[in-house]
Amino acid sequence: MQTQSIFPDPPSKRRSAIPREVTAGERAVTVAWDDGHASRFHWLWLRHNCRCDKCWNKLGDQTLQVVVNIPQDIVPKSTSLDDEGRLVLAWPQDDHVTVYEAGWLRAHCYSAEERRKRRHTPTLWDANYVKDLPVFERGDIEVGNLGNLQVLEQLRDYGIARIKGAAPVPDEIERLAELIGYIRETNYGRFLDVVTKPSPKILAYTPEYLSVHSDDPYRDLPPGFGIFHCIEADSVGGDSILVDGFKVADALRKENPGAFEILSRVPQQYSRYHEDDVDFRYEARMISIDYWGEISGFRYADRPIAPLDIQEELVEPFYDAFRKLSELTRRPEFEIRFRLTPGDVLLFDNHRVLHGRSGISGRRHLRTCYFEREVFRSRLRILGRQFGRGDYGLTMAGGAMA
Amino acid sequence: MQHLPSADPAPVNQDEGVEGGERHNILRVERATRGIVIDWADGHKSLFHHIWLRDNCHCVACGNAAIGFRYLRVSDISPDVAPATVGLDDAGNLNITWEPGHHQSQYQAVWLRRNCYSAAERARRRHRPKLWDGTLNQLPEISYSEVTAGDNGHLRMLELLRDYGLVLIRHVPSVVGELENVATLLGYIEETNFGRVFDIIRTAEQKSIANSVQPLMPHTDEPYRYRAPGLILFHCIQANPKDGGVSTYVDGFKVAEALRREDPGAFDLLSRHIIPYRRLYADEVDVQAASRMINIDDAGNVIGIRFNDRVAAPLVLPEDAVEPFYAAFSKLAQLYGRTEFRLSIGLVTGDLMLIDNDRVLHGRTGFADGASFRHIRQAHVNRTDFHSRLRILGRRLGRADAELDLAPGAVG
Repeated sequence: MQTQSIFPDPPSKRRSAIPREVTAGERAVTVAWDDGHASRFHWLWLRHNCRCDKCWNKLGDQTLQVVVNIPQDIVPKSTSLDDEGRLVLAWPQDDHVTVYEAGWLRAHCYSAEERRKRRHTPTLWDANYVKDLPVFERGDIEVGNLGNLQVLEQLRDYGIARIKGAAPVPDEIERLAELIGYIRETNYGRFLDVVTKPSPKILAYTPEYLSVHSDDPYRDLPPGFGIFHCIEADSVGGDSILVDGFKVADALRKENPGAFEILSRVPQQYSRYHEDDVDFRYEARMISIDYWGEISGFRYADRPIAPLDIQEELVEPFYDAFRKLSELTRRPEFEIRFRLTPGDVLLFDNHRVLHGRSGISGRRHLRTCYFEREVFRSRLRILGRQFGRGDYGLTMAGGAMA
Repeated sequence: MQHLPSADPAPVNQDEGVEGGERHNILRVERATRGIVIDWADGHKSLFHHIWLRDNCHCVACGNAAIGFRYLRVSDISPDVAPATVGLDDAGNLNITWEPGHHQSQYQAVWLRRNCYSAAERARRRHRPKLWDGTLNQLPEISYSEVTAGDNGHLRMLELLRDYGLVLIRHVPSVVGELENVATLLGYIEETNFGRVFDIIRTAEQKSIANSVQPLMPHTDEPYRYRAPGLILFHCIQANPKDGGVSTYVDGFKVAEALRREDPGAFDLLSRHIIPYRRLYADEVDVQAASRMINIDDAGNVIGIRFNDRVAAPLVLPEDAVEPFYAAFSKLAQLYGRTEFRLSIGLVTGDLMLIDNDRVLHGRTGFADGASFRHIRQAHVNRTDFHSRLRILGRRLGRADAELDLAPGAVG
């Protein structure tokens, strides 16, 4: 028996509501809080989440009890609040006692209202955002400092961040990578040097215009975040083009709910083939909707798409919807453009923001690499907590899962 | 990254019949209002919509959709596109001239049949895993010398992994560093907060249950990541199975099917509702993700599983789903615990067990008092590259099943 102090509390710790009264019902307890909210916790849930030393490995953050050992019809012998406002439950088996701190309980209340409050809401943007997009100074950012946190928060809220003043040398990206997480190695290597090449394997290695897209949609899970570091830009053109995929998805939902419904329901295959080298294929939805019905991810590219392989009756409606979405991604009202110069860095959420570039003449060298999302978010929570942010515990969008 | 065209994969899938055989022989082409119907010599009928055919033109100007590269975009195609003329040439190719634009497209019969999207052909293209339980008498295994001798052994290892969800590689040199070599046969090692390689050694520090003396019930690894590790490699550097720590494996697909049969309601709940997972090391790592325990595709096929009740965070579901979900969860946990489903293998020095973490659960028995030093090295590789290599090698060696659609895994 113990309390959950090792388990840091999500946001409601900020202003801890105090439980006024608990009422034991047949299947659950109702906790009435001093701010007027009422939470219901089922007995099973309360037994399963016990954080005492016997039930929980604190250091490893793993439960030591398994759900099969809990009787489905478990009911405590007694339920009460102690002097410190903690919920105390005495279970019939083994005289086991579970104690929940009020802050922890409130942070895990699963009423619809509390779930909504715990959810992070991304700030959607369009072309007007270009004048407000902040540019961070490389000199202000070190691993684990406030500048690092601010970059991560900018990425969380807007899906893009800019930094200037990075050393325009190839290995600078290794140091930039440490601000986010661990580099994902792929068939293209740990880094890509995006320059015009004599025999280009991918379009990025040509001087051509690239319309906006998500990177690598043909993988199980596309890379979470990308870093583009500009090392050389002795060129005309090559402006970066960025579009907020969530904004576009939201616009599609408003303008054409039927198209939105199809693209968020029907998966189609993305593919990438290099002869005798790689043959990637993956079936996924262009717009991901999470369990709660929110837009959670965007996976869009109109070039690496395999022949549509879906139910016959959906082929034509799907094409209509795809066309609508494709048109929206090209509307100037949604896109921002700027030019990266040596030492500039662009970071983006590849499950949300689409990127492209205008055609290039002359020399331009970007070095790029990619990261997983959960490590980025873990960092955000850890740093947010260290710097006393009120919102570090919020639930963030699940991404372009499938 | 967008890429430039290279050659179309050669049609080697013998499952599709001999090229030019009945499956690839077009008897008749009929025009319908919105598309074209093809009658094949084997009796099958395919419908291809006009817009689909126009979109998949693979002339030099339009690109090659079959290899994931296009110049033509959907926004370039008129929604009312329709053929002006349709015909079969002497080689059996379908030729179309389009209006508007007079663009000409040619489609090989083999290509059309391979991409037919009728329900029957789509089901036919799906790879079917071989399900197993504790009675599996021939453990999928292969020697390391065979794996490293060339493409044949390499592919056989990948195929066993694809079909059974696990394969034991015998006689791998038990040296630190060899695991990394094996990983290159599958893809790229994923670096995480645990590093690139995790050492499983019993220690007093209980940062992970894996490093304790306790038995571990079968589970999948790291469900608290948005995408759990696709493949796990366990390389046994040193172990004596007499000390305990015997590895246990359960085919999650087999168990999911058992659940579907025994308790369809529970199956439905677990394939619909999500469960949150979390791994927290104070001030260091706080990874969280929510997902379904059983993933199914639109046709109801099981395509991926995640199960690890030790790192399950407090359940967050609509209130009325909480109790039914617990009942289903408990039922599934009981099935996973049944010995009839369990395969037990005492790994010995030099063994390397490779498992599909989106399908097969792993665990181990506890250790005896005074057990000797045991050292397992563990690493993770994603499924994207594994599946890509299956196709590339399968095609190179003329496998009939190289083009089949593979289960996408525990997608969410």
